[in-house]
Amino acid sequence: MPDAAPPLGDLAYLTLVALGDGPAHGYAIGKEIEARSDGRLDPTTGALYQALRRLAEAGLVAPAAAPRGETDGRRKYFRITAPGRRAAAAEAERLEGLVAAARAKRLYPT
Amino acid sequence: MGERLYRRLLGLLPEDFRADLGEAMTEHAAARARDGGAALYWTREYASLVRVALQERWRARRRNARRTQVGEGMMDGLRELRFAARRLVRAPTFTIASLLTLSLALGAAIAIWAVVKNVVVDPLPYESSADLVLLEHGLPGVGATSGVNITDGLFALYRDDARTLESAAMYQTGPRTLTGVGDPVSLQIARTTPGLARVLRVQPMLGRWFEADAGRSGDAREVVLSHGVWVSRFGSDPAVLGRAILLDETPYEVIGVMPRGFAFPETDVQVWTALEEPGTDARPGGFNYSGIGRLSAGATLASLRTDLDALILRLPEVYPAEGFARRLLDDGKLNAQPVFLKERTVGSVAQTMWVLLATVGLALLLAAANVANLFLVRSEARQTELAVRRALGAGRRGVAAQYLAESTILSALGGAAGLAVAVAATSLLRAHGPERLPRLDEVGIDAGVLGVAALLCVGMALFLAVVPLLRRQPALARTIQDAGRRNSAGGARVRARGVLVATQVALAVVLLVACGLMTRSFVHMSKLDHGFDADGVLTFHLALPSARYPENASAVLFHEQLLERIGGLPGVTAASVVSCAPLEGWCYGDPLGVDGRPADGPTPPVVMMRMATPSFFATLGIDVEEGRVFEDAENAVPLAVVNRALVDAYFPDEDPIGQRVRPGPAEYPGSWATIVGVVENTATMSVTETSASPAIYFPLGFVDYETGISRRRVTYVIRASTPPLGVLPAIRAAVHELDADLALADATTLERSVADSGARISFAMVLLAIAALTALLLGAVGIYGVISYTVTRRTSEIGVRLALGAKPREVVGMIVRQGTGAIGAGLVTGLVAALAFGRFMDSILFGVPSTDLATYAAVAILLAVLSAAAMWVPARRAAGLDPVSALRAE
Repeated sequence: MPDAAPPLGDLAYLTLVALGDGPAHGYAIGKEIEARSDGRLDPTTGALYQALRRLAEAGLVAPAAAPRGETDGRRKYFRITAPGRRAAAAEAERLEGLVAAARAKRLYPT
Repeated sequence: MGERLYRRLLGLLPEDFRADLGEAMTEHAAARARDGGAALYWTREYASLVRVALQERWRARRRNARRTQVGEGMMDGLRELRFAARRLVRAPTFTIASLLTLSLALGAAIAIWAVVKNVVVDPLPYESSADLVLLEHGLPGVGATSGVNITDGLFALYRDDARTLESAAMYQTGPRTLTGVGDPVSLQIARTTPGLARVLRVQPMLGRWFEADAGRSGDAREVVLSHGVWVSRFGSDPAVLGRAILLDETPYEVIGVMPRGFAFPETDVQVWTALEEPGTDARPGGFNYSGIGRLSAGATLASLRTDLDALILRLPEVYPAEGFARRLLDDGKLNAQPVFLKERTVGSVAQTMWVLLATVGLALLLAAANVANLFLVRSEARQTELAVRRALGAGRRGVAAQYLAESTILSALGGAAGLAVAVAATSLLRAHGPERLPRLDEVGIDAGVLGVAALLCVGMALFLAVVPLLRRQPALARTIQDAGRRNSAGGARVRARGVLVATQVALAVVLLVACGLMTRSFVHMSKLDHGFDADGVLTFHLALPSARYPENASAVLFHEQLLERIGGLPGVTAASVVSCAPLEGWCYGDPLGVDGRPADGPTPPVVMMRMATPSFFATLGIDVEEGRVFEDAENAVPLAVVNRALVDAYFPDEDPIGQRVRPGPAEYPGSWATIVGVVENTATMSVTETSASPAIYFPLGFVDYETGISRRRVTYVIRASTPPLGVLPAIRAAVHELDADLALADATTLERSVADSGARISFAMVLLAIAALTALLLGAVGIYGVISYTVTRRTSEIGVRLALGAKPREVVGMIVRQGTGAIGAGLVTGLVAALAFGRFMDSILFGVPSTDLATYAAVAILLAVLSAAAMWVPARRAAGLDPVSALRAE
């Protein structure tokens, strides 16, 4: 039951983005987020899993089977769903709109 | 270290969150820690985890709440209730015991609350009734500090000049015989100034009230009927208006009918007639009226008192001709003592009522403790089942829901049954309660009572559900081990039940002490010497209409003729007439003039004056202490008999015999009467009065005095050797032979009057006795239950002990010792609490201090013995166990 889609938070957006390449576990997602945000975002375990759980509840991500090479049974893998892809795209579009507005006013170089 | 604490903190997350992601998060956090993060890495992780946990729990709760709205919660609740009902049906002993206890205790609490609310708490049934005050006075100079009524002169002064009074009225009550409408009947009437309707803000339901100038002599006489007399005597006929009726054979025109339930000043008043508003020609003496007023806006009782006291000082200047006004001030120290109408109406019983309410409250607590105990026993028997449920994932909440469902059903059923008990009890009370209990007719179950009843049930349901949850809940393995061994007495568990036992004992002590004190008051009261022998004495009132008996002499002649006839009836051993019998309240009173004492000296104390036929003293068995009483031939001779209290007040150092006295302040005319004898004191108002009033008796036939004593309205006092009420028909026939239009009123036995006047004490005693006996029973059963349950749980242990050579006596000792601590603690707590509670009882006790040592000792011993017996029985059973079968009982 997705709530009326509000703008995704940075953390949620970047989580969806991190899953864009395919299923990943929490640790990998965290690393990717840290890298993508140039270290600006380094989510704590709690924050990251809270975001994952809420995304899962909203149907934007889903649990995924661990890949064959995985040895640690405790790790949990996630994948992005079709609604998740649409939500990420919508968010990107929103962000692009925001950037375009700044450009139109020459506040930000093309 | 960091990882372990993190794992612990995961427990803060909602259960499903933790189950889903907990493992992954631990691994994740540990992996990040290995990356070598910042110095405060774990601190940051902990803080963030706690924050997330709080957020998620909040979210989960909001979601649950939303789901409940949809109705799922309700469905869950109904399912729980259905299961609980099934479980209760399968445990009939538990269910019946709980229901009985709850319904009795709730019923008693609801019933007493209904009485307290309707009698003490609710405002009187008049508009803005909190502003109504009775205009009473004190005459401390002559020994009456309060409760003195009002004179017409004072009333006129207040009505015209008191700015703190919005309106005021003055009234008098007395019996009148209604003839011409069915059989002659004696009715209580109130003569009142027309202002009463304005003071009370009531209007007749039919017709009109008196005009402001009604009641003047010579005008048409008018009467307003009560709803009750309109229904019973006039068949609710609206055409009654304008009809003429005879009161004491004087014609009155019916001008109105009051609404149902209106009765003022007393509930037995059925007719109102008009009393002329006194003018400035009124005399200030003679406190023969009662006054009522309504406070004007902003006035208080204190400001009213100041206002009236200032007006009282103007009395001599308003009535300069009356030396009496001056003396009221100088000798009597007359002052205003206004009291709220409600205080005067219910003040006497308010304290008793609150004590009773506290008592049933305690009994309710006791009942709650008992049923809680039953819940505990049951919950223990179900430990294994519950542990399995928990292990299978039932949360603490699920277990709580089960208890709550059971306690809800029990409380709801108990409350419904209790309500039925309360309805029955209050209607019984209305029908048979003590007549002197004010506002009894207003007692019933209304919305306010139902509200409290509902609150009590909800509170009870929650309490019963919470008690078993307070216990520590051991893990499955532990429980199953315990269940298997059944030999540990389980520390925490035993302690919880010990507290319950102690509570029960303590509550029982408080209730028993209250009951014991009340019983001692009652015993003290019944042993009192009232100064007369009430056994076999019948009393009734007879009123002769002034139209046919215009003079005192004609009335006296009638009484003498009637007494002769009554004296000849079979079963009657003595008969007499008196103007005012013992326990009939305050008779006509005036100071006494003594021959040889200066008339302008200080005003002597007020004396109760009675007119009696010579046989009066013998009929009532009043002892003659000095001199003699009147001879039969002396019914018209100026003689007097005084009581011991009068001698103490008037002749402390002189011989009273031979002194010459006459009623009224010395300047009133009248011939002197010679005192011939002194009799013992008799009770005037009630058997519980603590001091005797001075009283004087004159022969009934001595008609020289124009005092306020009527020879037309008298009390017949008759002693019979057969049951007194049995001779009543013959007496009535004798009355009607002489005068067919007379009505006997208020026929009763003197014993009944004695009982009624002590009703406040006996009523409280009976109710307290019921509560205390219930408490005793509940307490004993509670103790027995706990000890015998403990014994059952320890059967195998006891078996081992016995097998190893323990003597039965030692086993008994061991069991008893265990209960003794709790019982001792309960006894001590109870005695201390009873002492504290007793302070509130002092005002309703009679002749016994609330710290009466004997009562406390008796209660302590009684409870100790009873507790010992309650422990002894199961302990004996344990000692008598056969070791082999005890061990096999595993």
